[in-house]
Amino acid sequence: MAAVAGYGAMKPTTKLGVEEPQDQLNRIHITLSSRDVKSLEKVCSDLVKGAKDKQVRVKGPVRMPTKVLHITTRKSPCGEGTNTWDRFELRIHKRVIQLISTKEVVKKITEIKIESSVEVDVRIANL
Amino acid sequence: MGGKKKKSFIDKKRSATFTLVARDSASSSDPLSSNRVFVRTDNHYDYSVPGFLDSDEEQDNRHDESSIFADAVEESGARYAGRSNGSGLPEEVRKEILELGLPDDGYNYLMHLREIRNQGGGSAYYENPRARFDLVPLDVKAYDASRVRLNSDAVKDDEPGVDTIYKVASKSAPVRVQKAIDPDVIRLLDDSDLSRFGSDVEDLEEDFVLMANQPDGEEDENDDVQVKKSGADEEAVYERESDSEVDDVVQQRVRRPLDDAFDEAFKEYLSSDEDNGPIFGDENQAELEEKLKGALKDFNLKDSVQEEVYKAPADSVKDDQESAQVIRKCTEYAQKYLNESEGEEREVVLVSESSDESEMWDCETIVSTYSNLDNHPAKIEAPGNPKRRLPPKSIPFPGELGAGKDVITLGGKEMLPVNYLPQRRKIMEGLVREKLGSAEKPKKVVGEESKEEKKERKVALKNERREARRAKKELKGLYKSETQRAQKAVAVTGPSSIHLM
Repeated sequence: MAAVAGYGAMKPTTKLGVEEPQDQLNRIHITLSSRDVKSLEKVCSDLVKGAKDKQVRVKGPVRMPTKVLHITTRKSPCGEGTNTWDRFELRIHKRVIQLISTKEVVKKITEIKIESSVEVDVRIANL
Repeated sequence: MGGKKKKSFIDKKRSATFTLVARDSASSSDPLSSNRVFVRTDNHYDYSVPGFLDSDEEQDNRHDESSIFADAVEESGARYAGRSNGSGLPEEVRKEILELGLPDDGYNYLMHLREIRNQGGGSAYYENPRARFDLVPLDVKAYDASRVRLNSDAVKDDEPGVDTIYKVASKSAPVRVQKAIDPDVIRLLDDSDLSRFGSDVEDLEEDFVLMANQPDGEEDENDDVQVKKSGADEEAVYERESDSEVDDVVQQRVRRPLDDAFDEAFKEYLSSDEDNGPIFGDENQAELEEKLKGALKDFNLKDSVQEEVYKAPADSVKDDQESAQVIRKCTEYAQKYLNESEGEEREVVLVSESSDESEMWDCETIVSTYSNLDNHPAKIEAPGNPKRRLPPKSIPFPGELGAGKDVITLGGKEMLPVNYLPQRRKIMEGLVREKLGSAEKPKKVVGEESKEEKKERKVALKNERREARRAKKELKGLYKSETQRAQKAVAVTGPSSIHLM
């Protein structure tokens, strides 16, 4: 906490007479979840790359353990026959990215094209 | 967890959460803007993030009446007190909703109401302001017969105006009649000049066949007559110009000689002094009474009285006659027959339903309405391990079950030794272990061996398994042809549980 506060305090020390355009730094927590790993990884890498280009402090992407939802049913519609079972599963992947920057920058970063299969959740808090 | 929870990156209660959702309004969609927008999903209105969303979007979300969140109940009322009273509907609409007794929760219930416009019975009348009923053609069509010419023999040809229909019509009345025959149809029907069908060769007259059949001497006369007749025919066409006109003057029928004769007879009748029949109010009253009394003597009073029982006319015949008896007997037989058949059907058929075989009752069957004849409930179990059926692992040669080592069991069609191949991988491992010559370590109780020893043991086990697999593969390759031959033999002779390859 102290480090972060120090970070916030240290920010305006740039050239004399020049103020930071926007002082207000925000903590932004982006959660990306999807059933499809490829698109999810793509979106993640795009976000991180965009953030790094803008010299924004970024942490991530942190890969949460994937949740696997199982459904086990009998294959047969009637009860006859060998007792074969179907094991269906649904995998949910989740990635978390954390940024500390101003709002405009964040908006710029998140204006990338995100595929529709990826669900994005953004949480913003003041520093 | 024993330790203190780390300070999270973002305090949930002091943050704003946004979710990317599909764009709600189709109107403001242009190809440049993305399909999805960020929408705020949490309810902490104390914390506002004016910069994240587009400014007009945020305005829309807050003040747009038609947005889906517009009429939602807001948690912090102080901030939005300036807006409408929380319902989001115009005042008149709200008043009307309240008058109808519907709840005032911001939903426009008037959308689902329908005005009752007509009181007509069960059918609904939908007024169509653009319906014109005068253009609908009448269902009834009347044909104007005023111009019909008669060609019958009753009509004298020479008199003009005699062959109209009024000569034979008993009654005529003026009626306005719509055109029943289309003018086009009339035009087509009245192709009298037949110019379309005119032939190139116009030497022949119309009746050339008839003329050809008649002898030559009469040709000239016939020509004159025919010419005259055809002339009359041409006149006898319907006059089309005034089809729909009303005949204002009701034409009287043309008088025939018969009419005159009738008139004369009528006059005579009226003026005659003869007694033309019974006239009431006469002096011959007494005579009349007698006459009346005597008139009905012949008829039996009993027959004319209506009885309750329906009697066919044949029944009124006297009893001593044969036909009456026959009829009565027939009716009796019929009634007896009818009663017999009815009586039979009234017996009740008993069908026994209980069977001794499946008398197993369980609580579900008793509680439910199913009969236990058809309902055989069983407990649904998860599938078990299919390998349970095989003989226990300690026996390497399953054929030895229940028999000593010296006994070789025979089976199959040709009575060959059964189960003469090992079926366990542990046996292979055992063999490998013997080959490697590793001494078995004394088995320690679980929990007493240290981590390294456990690891060693596991590694050793893995090695054994690896070696066993390799050896098996080697052997398999070496003896593949042998197994093929053996499989062929076993397929014919041995029991079908053996699978060698």
